[in-house]
Amino acid sequence: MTNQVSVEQLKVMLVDKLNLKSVTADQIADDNALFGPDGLGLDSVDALELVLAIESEYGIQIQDEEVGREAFASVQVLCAFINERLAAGDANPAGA
Amino acid sequence: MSKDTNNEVVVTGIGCIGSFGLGVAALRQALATGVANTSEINRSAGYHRKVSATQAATTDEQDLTPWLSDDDGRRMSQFSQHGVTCARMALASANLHELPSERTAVTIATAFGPGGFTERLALQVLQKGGKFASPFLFTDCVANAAAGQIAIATGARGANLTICQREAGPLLAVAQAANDLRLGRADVCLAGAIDELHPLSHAILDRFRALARPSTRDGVQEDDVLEERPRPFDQYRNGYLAGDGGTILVLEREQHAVARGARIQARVGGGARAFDATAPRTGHGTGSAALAARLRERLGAHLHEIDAVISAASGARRGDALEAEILRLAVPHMPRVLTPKAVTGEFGGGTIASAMLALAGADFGKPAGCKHEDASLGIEISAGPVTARHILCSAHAAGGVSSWLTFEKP
Amino acid sequence: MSSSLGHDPVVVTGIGAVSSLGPTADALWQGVIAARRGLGELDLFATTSHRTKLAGQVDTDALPRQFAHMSRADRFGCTATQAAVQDVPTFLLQSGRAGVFFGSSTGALFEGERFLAALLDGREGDLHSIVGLQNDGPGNAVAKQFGCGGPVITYSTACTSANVAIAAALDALHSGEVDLAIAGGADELCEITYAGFNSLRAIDSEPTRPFRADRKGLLMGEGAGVLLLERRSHAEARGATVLAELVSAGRSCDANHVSAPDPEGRGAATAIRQALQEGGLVPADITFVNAHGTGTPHNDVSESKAMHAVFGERARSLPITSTKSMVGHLLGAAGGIEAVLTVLSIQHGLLPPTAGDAPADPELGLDVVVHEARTLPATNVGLSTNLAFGGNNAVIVLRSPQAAPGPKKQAEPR
Repeated sequence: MTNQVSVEQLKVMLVDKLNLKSVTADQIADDNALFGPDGLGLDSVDALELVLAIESEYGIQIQDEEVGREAFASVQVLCAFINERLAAGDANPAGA
Repeated sequence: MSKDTNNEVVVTGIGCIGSFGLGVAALRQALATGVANTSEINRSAGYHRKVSATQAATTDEQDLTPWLSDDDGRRMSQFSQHGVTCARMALASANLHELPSERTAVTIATAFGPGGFTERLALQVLQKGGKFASPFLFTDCVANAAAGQIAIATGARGANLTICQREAGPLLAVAQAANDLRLGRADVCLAGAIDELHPLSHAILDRFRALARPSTRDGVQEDDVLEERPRPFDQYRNGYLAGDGGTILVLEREQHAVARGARIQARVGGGARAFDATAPRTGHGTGSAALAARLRERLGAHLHEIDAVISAASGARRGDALEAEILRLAVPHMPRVLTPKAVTGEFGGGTIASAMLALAGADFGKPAGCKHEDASLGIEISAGPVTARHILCSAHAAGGVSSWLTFEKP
Repeated sequence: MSSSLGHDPVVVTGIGAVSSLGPTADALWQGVIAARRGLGELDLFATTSHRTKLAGQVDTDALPRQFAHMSRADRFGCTATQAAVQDVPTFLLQSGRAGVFFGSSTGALFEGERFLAALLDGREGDLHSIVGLQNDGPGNAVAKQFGCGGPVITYSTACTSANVAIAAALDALHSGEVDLAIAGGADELCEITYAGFNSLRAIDSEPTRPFRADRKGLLMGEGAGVLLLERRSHAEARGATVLAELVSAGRSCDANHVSAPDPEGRGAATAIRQALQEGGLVPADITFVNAHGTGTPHNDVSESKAMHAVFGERARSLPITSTKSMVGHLLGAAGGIEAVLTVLSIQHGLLPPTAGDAPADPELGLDVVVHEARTLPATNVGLSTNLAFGGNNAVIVLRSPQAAPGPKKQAEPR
C-alpha cells in the first residue's frame, strides 16, 4: 500500500524546486537526460537540490555516492528509483 | 597600437540599478528631483521593533531580461542577478563586446552580500534543521557570489575581488581596481558595488539607530520634519535612508581604451584611505583632524583643484558632522557639495554612478529633506547642473573606515 | 612590475594564530609537527539536526579574557594580532602609516544566528554581540583595538579571503602607503556554513583525508592567522627580527562554476604563474607547497592538475602538504593560518605532514608529505595556495630571509 510517485508529479517538482524557466513540466520527456548539454543541462548543484527535495518530499535518504549517478539519468529512471525505494519501505520522513 | 605608455586609468562604461530604476538615465532623472523613490519595508516577519524606521530605497522587481535571461538567473540571488545585470550594462555602454578574458579583473564591494539567500538559509537551518539547507541558497550566499557570477557571465579570469567595508566599500573597490590596472595586472576591470537590503538587515540597522526616523524633537512645528527622510547636513537629520542596488564601472588602462577607440567618460585620480579608532563599532567617530591629515597627505595640492564633492553625507547624525569637519579642513575653499545619498539611499554604490553623472553635467536637485541648514556644519547645499572637472568622492563607514577617490573629466 | 621589488623587500616580523590546536602559533606548530588533529565533535551548537558532527572548534577557555566581550571571530582576530604585534611600539601601530588587511567570510555569523533565533522566538537578541556581524567585523575590531590610523580593508572572497588580504598588504607596503601592515584573517564556525557545506555533501563524517584516495570531504575549522608585515629597511631600523620574506602573490578566477573548481585547475595554475612572475621566480625555485588541500574529491584533483601544469615533472617530487588535515578549513582565515604555517616551516626548515593513516592517492602524482614532518633545505621558497567558491584563486609566496645589504640582524631564540 505504498504511495507511488508518477513521472508527471516528478516533472512538476523538478521545474518547481530547480526553478527551471525555459521548460515547463509537460515539455520534459520521460527519457529526457537530466544532466549535460543534450538534456536539461542540470549540474551537480541541481542534483543536490533535487536530492534535498526528494528527501523532504518522500523521506528517502540518498547516499552521497548515488547522487548524480544512474538514478538521475532521466525522469523515468529517477521515478523508478524513488518508487523502488518507497516500495521497499525505505521512506523515513526526515522532516518528521 | 598606442605608443602611449601612461599609467592612467579611465572609466569607459557604467551600469546601475536602484530604487530609481535601471540605468544611468533613470538615476539622472531622480537626482534632478532630489527625491528618493522609497517604499515601506515589509515588517510582517516581526523582525522590527514596534517603533522603527519604515522606509527603504530598495530595488523593486525590475525587468532584468534585457541583461539576464531567466535561465541564466535561475539559481542566482538577487544580489548576483543585479551584479550580472550591471556588469553587462556597463560593458554595453563601454561598447566592449570582446573582453580580454585573462586580463579582465572584477572588484566588487558589498556591505551585506546576498542577504536574502543568507536569511532564507538561516531560517531553513534554524527552523527545520541543518539537513534541510538548500544547496542552491548556499552556493550563492557568499559575499563574493556576485563577483563570481559576473566572472562566469563575462569570462573575466583576472583577479576576482570582493571588499566588505560597509559605506566605504564602493570607493575602496574602484581604487583597488585602478591600482591593479596601474600595476599592469589587467587591462580591464569591472568595479563597483552591489547590495541587497532585506527586512532583517533593515531591522538590525534600525536597532543600531542608523536609519532616519520621523523627528520626535520637541517644539517642531513644520510637518515636513516629522516625515521619515534622509536629511544630509540638515539640522533635523537623524539617520540615513537604507537602500540597495548596484553600480558597476568599466575601468580600463587608458592605452587600452584609446587603442580600441573607446569613449572616455572620466579619468580615475588619486585616493586616500584611513581609519578612525575613535569610532564606535557601529557608528562614526570624532577623529576628523587625523582623517583630514591623511587625505591631505595622499592628495596634497590636488585638493585645490577639486570643484565638486560627491559627499559621504547621508543624514547620519555624527557621520555628516565628521564629513563636514573633514571637508572644512581638507578642502577649505569649499567646492560645491552634492549629497546623492538623499536620493539613492545608503549602499549600492549610488555615489559612484552619481560622480559619473556630475562629470557629465547632470542636474542635482536640492534634497527634499534638507530645508533647515545646520549652521554648525558650515556646508551649503545648492541645486542646479554641475560644471565640475575635478570631483572628490568621500565615504565614511560605520566602524571607522574612511575612503576618498577623485575622478576627473577627460 | 613594481620597481621597489627586490630593493626593499617586504618581510614578516610577527605572527599570531588561533586554531583548534591552541591559542598561539606555538601551540599550532607543536601540534602540526606531531601530526595532531584538532578535530572532534563540535559543541558550539547542537549537531543533532546536521548531517555530520566533526569540526575544528577553538577552545575559547584557553584564550586570553581580554577580548572575551567580542564575537568569536573578532576575538580570534584580536588574539592572533596581539601576538603578531607584541614587539611593536604603540606609537608605530597608532600612526596613520599602520594598516589592517583582513579576510573574513563569516564576520559574527554565529552570533547573528543566535540573534535571529531570539527574534524568531519572540525575544530581543543581544545587540552587542553582533556589532561585528558583517564581514568587516574582525578587521575593524583589530584596527580599533590596536589604534591603527591607516588603510583598513576587509576582503571576503570565501576561502581565499586572507590570501587576497595579504596580497593587498604587500601592494600597500610596496607603494609606500603604509609602513606596517597587519594582514591575515579570522572566521568562526556557524550553523549556516556548516549546513551549507553539508548540503553540498562536502563535509567528511570522519576526520578529513586530504590527498588520500578515500577522501570524502573537508572539515570546517575556525580561528585566525595574522602576519605583521613591513619593508625590510623599516624592520631593520627598529631592530625587528625578520622571520621570512613575503615575495609575491597571484590572484585569478576560473570563471567556470560557482562552487566547483575548474576540473583542470587552470585558474589555480594562472594564479601560481602570476605569483612566480611578480616575484621574479621560476617554478624550480619553489621548495615546498602548503596546499589548499581541502580533502574534497574535486579540490584535490583540480589542485594537483594545477601543480602538474606549473611544475611539470617536478610536481612529483615537490613536497606538498595540507595542514587542513589538522586544523580543518578556516575558510576566510585559511590563508592567514597557512601563511603563518608557511613562515614557521621556513623558520624551522620543516614541513608538517598531512595527517592521516593511509598513503597519498597515487592518482594525484604528488609528493604529499604524510606520517611525519619532512626536513626542508637550508633556504626555502614556500608557496601557499587557496582556491574558493566563485572560482576564486589566490596564492602567496614566502621565502627565507635574504641577506640584507647592511649589517644583518641575527634571529636569536631568546
